[in-house]
Amino acid sequence: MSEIKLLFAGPMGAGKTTAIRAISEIEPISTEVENTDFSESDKAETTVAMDYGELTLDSGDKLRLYGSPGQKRFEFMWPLLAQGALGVVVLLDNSRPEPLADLEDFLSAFSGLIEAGRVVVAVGRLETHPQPGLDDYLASVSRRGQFLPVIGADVRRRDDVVGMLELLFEQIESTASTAAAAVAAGAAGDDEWLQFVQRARAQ
Amino acid sequence: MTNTQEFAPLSIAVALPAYRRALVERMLQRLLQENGEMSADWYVSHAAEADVTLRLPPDEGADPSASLLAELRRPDGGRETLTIEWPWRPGALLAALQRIARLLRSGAAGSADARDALAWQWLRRWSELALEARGRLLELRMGGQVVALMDARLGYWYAANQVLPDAAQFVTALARDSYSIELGQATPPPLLRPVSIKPLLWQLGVRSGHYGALPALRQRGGLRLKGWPYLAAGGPKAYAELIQKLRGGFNTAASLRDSGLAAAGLVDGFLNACLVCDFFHGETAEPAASAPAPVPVPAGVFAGAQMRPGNEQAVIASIRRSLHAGTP
Amino acid sequence: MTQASLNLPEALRGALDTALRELHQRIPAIMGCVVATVDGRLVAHIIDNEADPQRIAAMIGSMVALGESIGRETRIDRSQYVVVNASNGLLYAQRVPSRRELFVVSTLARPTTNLGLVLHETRSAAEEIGQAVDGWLEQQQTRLAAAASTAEA
Ligand SMILES: Nc1nc2c(ncn2[C@@H]2O[C@H](COP(=O)(O)OP(=O)(O)OP(=O)(O)O)[C@@H](O)[C@H]2O)c(=O)[nH]1
Ligand SMILES: [Mg+2]
Repeated sequence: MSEIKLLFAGPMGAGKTTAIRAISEIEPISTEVENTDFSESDKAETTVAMDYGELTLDSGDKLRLYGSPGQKRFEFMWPLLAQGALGVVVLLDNSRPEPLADLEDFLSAFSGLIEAGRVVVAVGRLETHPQPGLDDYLASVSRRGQFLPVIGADVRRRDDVVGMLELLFEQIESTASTAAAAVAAGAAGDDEWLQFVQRARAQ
Repeated sequence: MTNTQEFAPLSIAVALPAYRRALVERMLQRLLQENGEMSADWYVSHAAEADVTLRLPPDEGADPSASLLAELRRPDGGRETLTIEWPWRPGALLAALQRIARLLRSGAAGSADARDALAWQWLRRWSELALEARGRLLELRMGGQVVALMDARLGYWYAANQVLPDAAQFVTALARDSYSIELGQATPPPLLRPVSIKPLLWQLGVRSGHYGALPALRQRGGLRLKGWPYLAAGGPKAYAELIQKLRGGFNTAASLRDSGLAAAGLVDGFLNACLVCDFFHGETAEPAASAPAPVPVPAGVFAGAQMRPGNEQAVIASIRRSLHAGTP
Repeated sequence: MTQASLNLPEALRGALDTALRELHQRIPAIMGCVVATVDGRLVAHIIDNEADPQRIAAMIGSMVALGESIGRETRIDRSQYVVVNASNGLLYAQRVPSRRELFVVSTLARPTTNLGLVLHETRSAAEEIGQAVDGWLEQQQTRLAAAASTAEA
C-alpha cells in the first residue's frame, strides 16, 4: 500500500489544525501564516497550504493526516490533498455567518468521495450557536441528492475527533459491503451505488 | 399465510349456553392447534371482556346448527357484530376468524392508522423470515399471485416492472388484497434487475411505530447503530438525537422510549426502520470483529480511493486500534 | 468568496503599483507579476496571459508557506524564495522583507529569460515594496501613539 491518508477539510477556523493536533503523534507540520482577512475570521493565524500529522499504526505503516486550507480561494488545494485519501472529514463551524453555504461548497468539492461513502460532516460550536440545527444540514444534503453523516462535535475534545473517524470508517465499511452485495447479486455496473442512492432519494 | 399476523394475540371468549359452549371451545382449540399461525393470532379466553365474544343470535333459541354472532371490540373502543354462518364447519370458522383478525388489525375502513398496522404486520413477517431465509428469497404474493421476490440478506426487490412501490401505495394494496410472504427459491429470477428494497422498508418501519417495536427488536439486548441511517435524512429532528444516542452508550427500545426524546410511536418507528434496514450491529459482535469478509467491489465505488477493499479493512482495523491505544 | 483582493491605503498602494510597473519593465520576457498577502489574497497584479490573478495569488501564498515549512523540516533554514521551472516558463516567488511579513511577490517569465535576472530584479522590487510597507507601518504606529496620547490628555 502506497499511502494511508485522511483529510480534514472545512472553512476557515472550523478546527482542522486543532483536530489534527488532537490525534497526531508528531508535532504537526503546519503552514500557518498571519491572517490578514478579519472578515473571514479574527484568528491570528491561518493555514495556507496544508497541515500534516502522523500516527504510526501497529502494522508499521503510517497514517498521514492532512488538513487543507479553509478559504475558498485555496480550493485548488482540496482535491490535491484529497487524492488517494481513505476519507474526508469536513469540519464546519456553526458560528460562521452562513454555515449552510459553507456546507454546499464542500459538498460540491467532494461530491465524488461523497458518492463513494467516504465523507462525514462534523459541525462545531452548536452549543453556542444552535441554529441552523443538524436537521437543517441533513435537509441541505438530501436536497442535493447526497447522503452522508452529519454530527455535532468539538474538535478540542480528542474523543470527538476519534468519534468522527469511527463514523467515517463505519460508513466506508457499510458502503463497501453494500457495493459487494451488489456484485454478489449480479447487479453490476459502476454507478450501482449512485443509482441506489438516487433511488432512495426519489422515495 | 394470510395477513393476520399481529402484535399481541387476540382473545376470543365463548358466551354460549353450556352445551354449545363446550363444543365451540373444543373446535376453537383444535383449529388453533392444527393451524400454527392461527395459534399465534388467537387464544381462548374466559374473561368477560375479550377482543371477540361469540354469542347466539337473539332469536335462534336452542338450534345447535344456528349461526353465531361474533361481537368485536375494536382497538379504538368501537364495537361491531358479524355473523358466522355454518360455525360447526372448521373451514368456515377458520375463515371467519381470519376475516375478523384482519378487521381488527387493519380496520375495515382502511383508515391511515389501519394501514400502518399492516405495515407493522408485514415487517414482522419480513423480519422473522429474514432470519430463516438462509440464502432463499422471500416470495410476496398479493391476491394469490407472486408479485415480487425479495432478498432479505442483500435487501433487494425483484418485480416484473423493476420498480419499488411507494410505501403508501404498497400498504393500500396490502389492505385491499390479502397477501402472504413465504420462503421461495434461492436463485434470483433471470433478467430482472434488483432494486434496493431499503427505501420501502424504511418507510414501512417509520409508519409501523404506532404499533410498537417489532418483536425482533424487543428480543435484542443493547442497540448500537451501524454506520449512519442516511435514509433518516430529512426526517424529524428527533432522528438526529436518536442517532446520537444510539451511537453512544447502552440503549434498548424501552430505554429510548423512556428517554423522552420523542413520542413513543416515533421512537419505535425509527427503531423498526433501522432494524429492517440493517442499521444495527449484531447483538454480541463488536464492530471491529464483525467486519465483513473481503469481497470484490465495483471499481466505480472506489473512485476516490486508491486502496483495494481487502487491504482497506485491515488498514481501518489497524487505525482503530492505534486511535484507541492512544486514548489517554 | 466574492473578492479576494485587498484594499490598501492610498500611499502604500501607489508605492506598490510603481514598484510592480517598474519590475514589469525591467525584465524582457516577463509575462506577469503579482503581489499577494501571505494568506493568499490578491493585492496588485500585471498579467499578460490569461492566468487568473486571484488564483495565482492564493497559490503563491500556499507555495511560499510550503517552502518555509520544508526549509524548517529539512533544517536548511529559512526559505529565501521558491521557483517553479517549467518547460514553458518560470515562476519565482518570495516574501516581501518587512518588519511584519505581510506580503509575497511573484514573477512569471518566459523560458528565454535568465533566472538570475528574474531573481535579482524581483528581489530588488520586493525590497522597495518592503520599505514602503515599513514606512506605512511606522506611520500607523505614530498615529496610534498620537491617538493614545490625545486620549490620555
Ligand atoms: N468555543 C469553541 N471553540 C472551538 C470549537 N471548535 C474549535 N474551536 C476553536 O476554534 C479554533 C479553530 O482553529 P484552527 O484549528 O486553527 O482552525 P482551522 O480549521 O485550522 O482554520 P484555518 O487553518 O484558518 O482554515 C481553535 O482555537 C479551537 O480551539 C468549539 O466547538 N467551541
Ligand atoms: Mg488550520
